[in-house]
Amino acid sequence: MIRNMNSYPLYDDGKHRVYWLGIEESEDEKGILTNQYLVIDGNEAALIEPGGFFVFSRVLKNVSSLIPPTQIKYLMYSHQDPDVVAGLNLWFEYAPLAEVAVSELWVRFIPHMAVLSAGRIIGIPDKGMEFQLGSSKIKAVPSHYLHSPGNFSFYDEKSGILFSTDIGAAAFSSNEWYLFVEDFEGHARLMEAFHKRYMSSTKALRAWVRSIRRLNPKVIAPQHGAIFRDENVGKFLDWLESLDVGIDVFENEFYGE
Amino acid sequence: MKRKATSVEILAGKDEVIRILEDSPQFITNWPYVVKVSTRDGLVAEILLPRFLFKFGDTYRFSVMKDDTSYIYDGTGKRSHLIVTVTLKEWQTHTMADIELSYKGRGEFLLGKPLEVLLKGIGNGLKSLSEAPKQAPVPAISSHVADEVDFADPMSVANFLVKSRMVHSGLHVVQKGGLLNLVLELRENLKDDVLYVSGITQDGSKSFKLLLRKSQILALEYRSDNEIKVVKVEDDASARQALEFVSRIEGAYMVNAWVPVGGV
Ligand SMILES: [Fe+2]
Ligand SMILES: [Fe+2]
Repeated sequence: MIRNMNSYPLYDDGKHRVYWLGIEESEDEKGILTNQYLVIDGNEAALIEPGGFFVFSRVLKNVSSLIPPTQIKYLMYSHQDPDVVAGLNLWFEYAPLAEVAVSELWVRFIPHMAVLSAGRIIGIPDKGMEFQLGSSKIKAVPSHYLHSPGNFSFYDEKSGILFSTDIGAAAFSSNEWYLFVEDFEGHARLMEAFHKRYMSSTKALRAWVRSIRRLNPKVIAPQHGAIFRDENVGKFLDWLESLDVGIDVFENEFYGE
Repeated sequence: MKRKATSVEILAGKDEVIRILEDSPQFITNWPYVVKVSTRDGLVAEILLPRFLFKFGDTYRFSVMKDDTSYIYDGTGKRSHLIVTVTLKEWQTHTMADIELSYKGRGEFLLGKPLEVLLKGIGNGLKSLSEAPKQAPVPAISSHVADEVDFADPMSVANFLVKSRMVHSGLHVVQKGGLLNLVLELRENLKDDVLYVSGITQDGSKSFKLLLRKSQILALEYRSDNEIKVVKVEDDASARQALEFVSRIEGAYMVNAWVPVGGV
């Protein structure tokens, strides 16, 4: 069982800091581990993909050791999947001054998470938007259909880190875990099946790759799996560009000729 | 050769600590700066300092040795050699772990500070793994979830919240001593016995969390600029203490109220 209770600093220039917040496997989701990230600028923080009940105690502990949770300004959710939003009511209480950022498509589903939004929900428009954090900016970058129809990646301009939601997700085998991708070809084998089935459309994927190349991130950090940096950022984007996914792969198999 | 040593007190029995030390891949995963662990071909772990700190990393192949009281994790890297020795002493209810780290090789004379962080982190990791529940928690469905809430233990609160729904959210001005009036107001439209009310001022400087069954306070967290008080009501004295803090609450708060769903 993979369990890492530590956080790991990804960026720190004294004023602006970014952390990966640890990882643990639950009995029911072997291999698919969720990453949570924290961005701090001055005395404001954004918690990216806060995650569910099973990871709450570790994430809260690691966040609290870095900044009081009352200083969390944003809880940022890339899409509406349970592995992303299941802990929403916990974080609503433990980050009581934070606003929740999620695609405007999912705003009307928030009451199903048992919380009253009370002006604390920011519905991100389809084209994306910018969030001010301290003196820095986090951009919500459209990632629709990858895999959810209302999906965003989050780009932290100052550190150059792109939080890429499920894009880049990998499933580890039981005998290995790593935080940073080193052997890209080996890692691609852990990503391929997931991307083919979960990502909806090749066209959407290529549009995303185009927009990300314009951003030119230094690091790509997905919600599952390992982090890409240095030459692996480019290799990852090339790999995505060459991949056929979703309905383009499975149309015949699912619906016949 | 650089040597550093530390001791940590672990609030768990020796058997529990040994259980963690025996699972060396898991233990080493929880050392600071460990970014890779593989057991494919022996136990291999990569330690990589954050780049902005110090450009250093090495991949170690570990062999693990043990005797009656100590565990030795001997790591041979490409450019360095790292040995971590953990020696246990059991006391009645807790365990002392003496941890020694020795390092030889590249950057030996520059790595003073990072090696200290590594050593300290190994100690803290061993402590938190040994003291943590064996498995990820499962949301409790027991009827006592509300009674078990203790604001010193966030998971007990999470257990409650995960089975609750928010019934009210709004800005309220609380007069000194008037919080329980607000609770009465909130209760007017509710049938539930158990009610959780939390409030925070807009600047975040003051907050409270209050759990009630009917008019009885079960637990309280009170935070003002200079103090945090947590009360778990268990007898008359703690009940009085909780009431005392409740009576101090005053000001404009963003208030959320939650009730359990499914009969907690
Ligand atoms: Fe997803
Ligand atoms: Fe996901």
